Amino acid sequence: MWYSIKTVEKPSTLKEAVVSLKNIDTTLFSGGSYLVADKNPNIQSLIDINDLVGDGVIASIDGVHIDAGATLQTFLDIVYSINPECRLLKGIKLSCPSKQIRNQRTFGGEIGKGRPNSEVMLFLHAVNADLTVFTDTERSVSIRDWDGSGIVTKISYFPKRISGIELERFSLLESAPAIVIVSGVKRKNQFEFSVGGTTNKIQSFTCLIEDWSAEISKEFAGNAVKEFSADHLGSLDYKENLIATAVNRVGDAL
Amino acid sequence: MIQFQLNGKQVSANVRPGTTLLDFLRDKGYFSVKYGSDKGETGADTILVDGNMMNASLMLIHTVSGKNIETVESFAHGQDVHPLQDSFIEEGAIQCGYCTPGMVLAIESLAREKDNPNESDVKDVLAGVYCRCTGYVKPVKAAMNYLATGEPK
Amino acid sequence: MKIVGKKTRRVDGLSLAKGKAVFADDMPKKDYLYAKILHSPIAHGKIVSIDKSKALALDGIEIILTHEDFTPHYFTTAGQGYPEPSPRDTSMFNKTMRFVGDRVAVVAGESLEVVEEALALINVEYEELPTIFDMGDSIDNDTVIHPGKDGFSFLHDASRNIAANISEELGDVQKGFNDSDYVFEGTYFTPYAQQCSIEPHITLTWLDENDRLIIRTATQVPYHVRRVVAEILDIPVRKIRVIKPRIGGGFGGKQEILNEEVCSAVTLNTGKPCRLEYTREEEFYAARSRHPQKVTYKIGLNKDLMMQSIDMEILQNCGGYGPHALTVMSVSASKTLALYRAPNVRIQANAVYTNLPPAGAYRGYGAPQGYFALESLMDEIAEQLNVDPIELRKKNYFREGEDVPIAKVLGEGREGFPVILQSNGIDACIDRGRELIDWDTLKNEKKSGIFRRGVGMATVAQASGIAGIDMGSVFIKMNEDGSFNLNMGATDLGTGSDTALAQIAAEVLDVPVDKMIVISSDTDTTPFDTGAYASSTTYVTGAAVKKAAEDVLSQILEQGKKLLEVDEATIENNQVVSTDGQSISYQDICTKSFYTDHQTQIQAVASKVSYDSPPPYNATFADVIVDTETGFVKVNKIVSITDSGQIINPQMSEGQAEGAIPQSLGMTLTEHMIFDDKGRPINTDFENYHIYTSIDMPEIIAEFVHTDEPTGPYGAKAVAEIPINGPAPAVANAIYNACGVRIRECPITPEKVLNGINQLPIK
Repeated sequence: MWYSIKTVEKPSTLKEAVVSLKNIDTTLFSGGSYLVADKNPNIQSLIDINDLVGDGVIASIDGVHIDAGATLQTFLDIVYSINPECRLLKGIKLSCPSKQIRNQRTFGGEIGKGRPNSEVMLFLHAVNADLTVFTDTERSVSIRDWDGSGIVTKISYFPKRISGIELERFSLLESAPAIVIVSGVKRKNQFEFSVGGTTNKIQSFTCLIEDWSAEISKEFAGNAVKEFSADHLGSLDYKENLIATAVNRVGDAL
Repeated sequence: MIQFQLNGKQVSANVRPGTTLLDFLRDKGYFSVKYGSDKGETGADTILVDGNMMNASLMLIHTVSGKNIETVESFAHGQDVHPLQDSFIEEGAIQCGYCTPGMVLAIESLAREKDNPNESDVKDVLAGVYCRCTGYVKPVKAAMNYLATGEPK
Repeated sequence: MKIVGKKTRRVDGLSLAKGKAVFADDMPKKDYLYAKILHSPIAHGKIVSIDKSKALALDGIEIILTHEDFTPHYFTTAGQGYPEPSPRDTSMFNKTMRFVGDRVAVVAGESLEVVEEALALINVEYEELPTIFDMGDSIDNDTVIHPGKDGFSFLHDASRNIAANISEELGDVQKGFNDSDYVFEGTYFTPYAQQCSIEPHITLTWLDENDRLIIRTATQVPYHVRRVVAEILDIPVRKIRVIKPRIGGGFGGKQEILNEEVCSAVTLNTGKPCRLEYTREEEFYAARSRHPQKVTYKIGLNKDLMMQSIDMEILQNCGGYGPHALTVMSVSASKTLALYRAPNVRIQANAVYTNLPPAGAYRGYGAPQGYFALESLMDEIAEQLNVDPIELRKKNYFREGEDVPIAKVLGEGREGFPVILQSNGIDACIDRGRELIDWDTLKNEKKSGIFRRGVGMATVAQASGIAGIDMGSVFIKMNEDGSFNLNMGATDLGTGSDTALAQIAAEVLDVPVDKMIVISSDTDTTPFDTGAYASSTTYVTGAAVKKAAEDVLSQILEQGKKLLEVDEATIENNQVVSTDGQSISYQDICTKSFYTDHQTQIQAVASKVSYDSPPPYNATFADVIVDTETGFVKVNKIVSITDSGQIINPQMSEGQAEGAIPQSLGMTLTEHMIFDDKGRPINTDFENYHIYTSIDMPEIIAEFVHTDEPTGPYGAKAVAEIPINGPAPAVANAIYNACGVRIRECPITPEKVLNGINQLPIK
């Protein structure tokens, strides 16, 4: 039982929700898979917005629009129905190997949690997804620029704008969270890479395709590894090497 | 007051908002749904919610309002045994049995969802049901035998 | 045979498949007190004061017990026979905390919520003491972890931090090395690892209508629980009943008196029922785990590749207390030193205290640690001498008919018993295994590219029960429908012993298994059994079952003859048939025996202790792929072939191997227990402690080869532990075959492999 919870509110507008969220002992409730696992004893009130955001996914070559209340599984099912061979399906699934949790975890919750070792986040960073965010009005901001404030209601990206996307992850087991994840897209004449894993934050870099080389990967890795720390999974040197290898493999695949 | 369907019966829950579905179900004597950890990953607490497999330990009671919850207690009545459960016994896929209800619900939800699931599909739905006894070898076999008969509940 | 060796459904399969209420916690709520432990936040320190006042003032808190409420009584939490061969170095509440997680207090109240609130309100002042985290620093350290305990039972040398010591030599190893043409040595490390049963430790206690203490607990050792709780709480054994329901996994983790005594103390002090369940987090830092070991093996061989000397040295980390310290090391030595023959053999072993969580029993119980060392070294020797690793092994095995001298010297805590090998199927295991892994092709294949594939193998042995110590007892009575009650203390933790033992009885009595009504592990209604450990149940209790069933069968015959009024008869098809053609069925015999003629209850008891402990044998083969750019190792396939004599239940035996393998692979590649520099555990959940799930599993092939073991019931030997011994060295050897890197430390991390690759001379 989550003892500290005293109330669950279901506001009738997003504006009301934003107001309620100003209280320090209050938090937004979407799928709940992260919140209920953590049971933060400082939270007394949950603002359940599931009736205010949709839970669907609309996908076409012109654009993919994901409601914040859509579950990870819903998204995977839609992608699978369009392209069962999609190589990213497996990688994205591994952000959450448990299907039970995928049936509960929403995109809004996943983005709100913002785990740097979430393949979903790395994917959204790669495609530079547009977030529709509500503070006192709705605005649109790209995920790479989002400061974390407001309520995310929709996530969109546009497959037409990318000509390739790849994901590489290194972990001790498929079911284990990844140590290093690199996602990459090819847009026009450039590569955009994002790195995540057991790190403080997702970092991205861009380079012209003609400039890309093993040296650039190494340089990027050297910078990115500063947000990682050494642990039982590897020293900083080793993690730097992993990042560089992952970037190389993603680049080669693209 | 939260109202929902539980194994075909209408049920009311008048409990604290921080109550999880796992707390509620075990209180009511549905012991097939079990505690494995606080974060849901073991799947010992698996139930079906409108046919979808989810973790009772991660669901606050208000979220099941209006939903149809199933546990394995609904699978067989009296002396019957559900063919999937029978397949598990037949294949020797049960050792300590703690994860068995979770596995059964997972496979059953797959059977309802997909025609001709393959072994990879089975392993996918079992990834959220931890088993330390069997190495998953016989459970996967039992599941494939059952799925080959094309007999969802 | 009709039933033994044949596919047989589990007797408890239906209730488990249906999710019936059979586990410890599956009881309608009594008005329990909920109990939780206050765990020490520091790794080493004395409790100076405990202020419970604010906690006790909370509405709904019933009792808080600490060391202040008891005079110290020293015992061991190890679930072993009396006198327990483990250091008696702990009391229910110690005044000194020796690891982060050690027990400070127990709080019991009306709800978990108020108890958790109370835990936070208990004010404890500690006087911190210096800590020891590296087992290499422990011996003769200025800091003594168990001061003042010199002379305590089975505690080897408290003032030097040595919990246990083994020092035995057969022949003269140094002379043997001097006479050897080749001498090789290697040092290997195995880490802490967790059993990770999906059901956590859980105990419920209450007083029945006669004020007897009832303990319903997830345990592998109900009789040891009864004895130890009686001793600690100073109540007679007859006032206690221990019931073991279905258990959600044990693997040794529940071969411990972990919380039963403190839960009982709450009940005895309040008169109320008490429920104490560990959270998953507590399972990771306040339960038990595998003993880390540093093992050095030195082997001398002559030119013919026959071993002359084997010298084994062990340094074992016990953690803050020493349950199973001596016996785990004994097994590391006795199982590995019983595989290959050498005229000179020595074991020198020390188990030392550190300020980390106490280790305990975990499947394999020292053998996995010993075999990782031995079977890795064998491959290293083969490589250096440029000989085939399988041929090297085959030259040196003890064979059928030979006696194994080290077994007599190394019991578990006392002298052992002579072993003469009467069955040894190791060659057949190897031959079958190499075929299934495609050894000949894959071993010698040229390795190239970024992803390199390799194969490796290991051969291992275990034992079947502890000779001269493990005892199992059984009671059988007949019912008028031709069924039989089979009551046994033996403990089924998911291993299927209820079924296997029912099969043995059914085979003797010539009835289907569903005519056996099995009741197990209740100290009031089932006779004694040491419990489920040391792979003893099939071999030892099985023999008792056979004996009791044979006794019942002969009573049926005698009773049948009396009822038919004949002197000569035989049993056929569940009937007693006289030479002159009369017959009477089992059912009629029992019915008349209950109600009308020559009335008697047909029933028998039998006990068995074995002075033999025949080793099962296993060959494990691993097929791995190494990513040479990152060092990641992926296991493709494990083949595990075991000689367990006559298999009683093929599916259940396969299941034992199939489940043991991922546990071993976890220790080898993915399961890390990590502590910070203050000894605090860091990864106390499954997100950060990685066990194999369904999507991670390699292909597994587990098979058995048949041998005839004359000392086992129907020729059976043990099966439950041995498959966990082989995968670690097999994988290490396969990694070497794949990329030329030898790692001598588990878990084998990708960084270690990559560093090894980078240090290889460029070809």
